[in-house]
Amino acid sequence: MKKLWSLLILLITIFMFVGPSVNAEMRLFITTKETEFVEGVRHTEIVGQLEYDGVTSNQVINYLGANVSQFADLNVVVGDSYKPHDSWGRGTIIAHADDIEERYPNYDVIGGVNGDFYNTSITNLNGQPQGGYIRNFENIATGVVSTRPLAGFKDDGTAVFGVPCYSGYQLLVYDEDGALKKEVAVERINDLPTANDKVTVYFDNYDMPISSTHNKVVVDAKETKMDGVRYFGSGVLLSENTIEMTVQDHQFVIVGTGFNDDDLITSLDYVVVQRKIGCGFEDVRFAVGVYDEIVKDGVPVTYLERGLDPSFKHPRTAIGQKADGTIFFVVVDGRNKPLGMDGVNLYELAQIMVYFEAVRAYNMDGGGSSTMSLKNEEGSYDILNTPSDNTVRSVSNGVFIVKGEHIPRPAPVGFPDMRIRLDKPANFFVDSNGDLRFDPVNNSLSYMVSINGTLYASDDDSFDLDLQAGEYVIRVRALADQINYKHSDFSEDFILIIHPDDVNRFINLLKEFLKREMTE
Amino acid sequence: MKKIAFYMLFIALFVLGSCQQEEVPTVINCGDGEILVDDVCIKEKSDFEKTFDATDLMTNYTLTISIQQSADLYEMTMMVDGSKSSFEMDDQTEFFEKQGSMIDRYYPVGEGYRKESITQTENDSFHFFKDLEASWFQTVSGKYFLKTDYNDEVADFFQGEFPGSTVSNLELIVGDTYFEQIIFDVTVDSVMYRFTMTLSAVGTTTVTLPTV
Repeated sequence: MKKLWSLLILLITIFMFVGPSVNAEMRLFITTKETEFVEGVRHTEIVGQLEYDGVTSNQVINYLGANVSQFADLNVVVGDSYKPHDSWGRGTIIAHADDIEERYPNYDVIGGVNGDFYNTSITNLNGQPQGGYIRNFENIATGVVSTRPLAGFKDDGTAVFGVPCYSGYQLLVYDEDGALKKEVAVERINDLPTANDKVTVYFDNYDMPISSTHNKVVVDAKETKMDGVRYFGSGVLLSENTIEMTVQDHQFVIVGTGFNDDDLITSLDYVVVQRKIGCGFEDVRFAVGVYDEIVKDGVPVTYLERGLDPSFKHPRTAIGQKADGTIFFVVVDGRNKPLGMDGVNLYELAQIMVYFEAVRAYNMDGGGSSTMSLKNEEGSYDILNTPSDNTVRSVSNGVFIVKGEHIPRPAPVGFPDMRIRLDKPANFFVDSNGDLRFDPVNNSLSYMVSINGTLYASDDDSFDLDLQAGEYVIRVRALADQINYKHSDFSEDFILIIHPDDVNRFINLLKEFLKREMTE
Repeated sequence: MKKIAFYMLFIALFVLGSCQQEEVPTVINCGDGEILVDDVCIKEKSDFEKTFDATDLMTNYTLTISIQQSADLYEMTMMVDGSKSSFEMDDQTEFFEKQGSMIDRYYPVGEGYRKESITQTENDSFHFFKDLEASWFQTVSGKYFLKTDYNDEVADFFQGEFPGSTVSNLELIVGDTYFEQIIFDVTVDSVMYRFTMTLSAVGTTTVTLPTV
C-alpha cells in the first residue's frame, strides 16, 4: 500500500510540475497539459504560469494545428457569414464553419479560430474585415487598410504571409466547368469607358441612368461587396442591351463598345469582377487578414506598434507556421483572472508562438473575439477556450482546418474555346440487374451521374443504382480530357420510379402470368 | 281373269313380305335444370358458371390492376392480344410477342424501344384467375366470395415470390359473359396488399408492337 501511495504522489508531482520550460525570455510553468487528436488535427490545452520580463501571470493556452503541407486531405479554409448583398454581416465561428460546409461539400470542418479585425459600425459596413479576404480564389475584400498583411493558403499546402498588392480591377469569365475563358481588364467602376477598347463596370450603388449606347451586359449578381471605394461582384448573365438603363438592386452592368458581341459571356458562364491581386497571392485559394507579424524567422519580434494595445494583457489569437509546414492557431484566454486567465500582451504571445515552434506568426483579432472551436464526436462544435464576453462573439470571419481535399481548379481554356463538346449521353434504361445503362459517348473518359442533384462518378456506361423506393431524376454528362474535348452537357432528365421490393416482386409475377397468356 | 287375280296376289304377298317391324324410339326426359348432351343429361350451367368457361377461353382482353398498400397505390395495365401482349406502368410500356418457345421483349430505351429474346419461365403453379372454379364460391348478400377453404388455391400463385403469403377476402364480380372484377387481399409478412383487377375490352383489345 505504501508503494502505491508513493507512486501516486510521484505521478501527481510530475503531472503538477512539468517544467519550467524555457524559451528565450519566457518561462512556462505547466500545471496541466492535455493533447487530443481529431482527424489528424492536434489540440493541446496548457494551463499554467507564464513568466516573462519579470512578470508572472496565470494562463490558459489552447493550440490547434495540423501539417497541411504534408497531408493533402487536411487544408486551411476561411469562412464567414457575410450577406450576399447590401451589407457584410457577422457570425460566430460556429456559423462560419457551417457556412464552409454548406458552400463546399468536399470539406469537413474540424476546428478553427476567429479571423480578422473588423468594422463594428452600425452601418451596412458592420462586419467588413479590416484586411483582405479571399474565398475560393475570389477577392471578396481587399483591405480597408492597404498595408494589412494576409495569411493565404494555396492548393499545394503552402502558406503565403505578407502584404498583397492590387493592380486595378479585372473581369474574369469562367465557363460552366469553372475553367477561365478570359480575363478582361476593367478600366474603372461606375463610369463610362474612355475608349472603345475599354470596359467598365457599374454596381447597384450607382443610382443614375447609364446614358450611352455602349453594349451593356447585365449580370444577376450572386454576391456583391462594396464600400464606395472597393468593389467585388460575381454572378451570371441576365440580359444585354444598348439603351439607357439604371442598375437594379443586386445586379452589376459591364459596359463597353461592342463588348460581348463575340458571346464571350454566355448564360452558362460565371463572371467575377474584383481587384487584381499580386505579390505572391495570385494562386491563393483562401486568405484571411492578419495584423502584426509577431514571429519572424523563428524569433519573436520585439518591436510591435500596430496591434490592439501591444503591451496590455488581453485574450489573444494568433496564427503560426512551423518549419515543417504545420499551420497552427493559438488562443490565449484573458480578462478572467479569477479563473487563472490573465491574458497576454503581444510580446508574450510571440513567445508562446515560438514555444510551439513557429517560424512565422501573426497576431489576429483578440479580446472578446478570441475563440477556438473543435468538432466533437456528435458532429457539433465545442468551444475550447473561455471567451471573455462569456458568450461566443459574432465576428467577421474565421480560419479553419478542414478534412477534405480541394477540388482542382480547371486549367484555363481560352477564348474562343476551340475544344469539341462531347455529345450528351442518351437512351437510358435500367437493366434486369437494376443498373442504369446508356449509350457510350465517343471520346469520353468517364461519366458524371446526377441523382436528384447528388453527383456520382461512373467509369463506364453502366451505373449501379442502389436506391430506396422513390422517384428520382437522373441526368448524366460525359466527361472529357478538357484538352481536345470538353465535357458534355447534362443529358435530358431520366425519371426513374423505384417501387418497394414487394411491389416489384408482384409486378414480376404479373408479367410472368402475362407471358403465359399469349397464344401462338 | 284367274291369271290376273293370281298375279295381283303374288305382288301383294311380295309387298307385304318386304315390310319389317318398325323400332319404337326411346324417349329421354332430362330433369329440371338438366340438358341433354350426347344422349346424356347433364346439369345445365348457370350464367355464373358460364362466365368461368368464357373467361378461361379469353385470348384478347385488357386487365387493369391496382395494388394498394396503406396510402400507396400502384396501378398497371396488362393487355393480351393473341400472341402479343403489353404491360404498362408509370407511363412506361413493355411489349411481348410469343415466338415459338421464346418471347420477344420490347423495352423502352430513351425515346424508342429495343428488342431482346427471352425464355418463358416454366411455372406450373396456379394459373391465376383463369383457374378459378365456380364451385369455390359462395354468395353473401348477393356477392360472390371465395370460400375460405380455397384461399390457399389462389395463394399458390404468389408462393414462388412470397413463400408463406396468404390470400383472403376474394370477391368476384361477374358480367353477362366474363368476369368483371376480382378483389382480394394478399398478406406478406404482416403487410397487406389489396389487389383490384378489372377486366375489359374482351375481344376488342389491340396490341401494336413498337418499331425497333
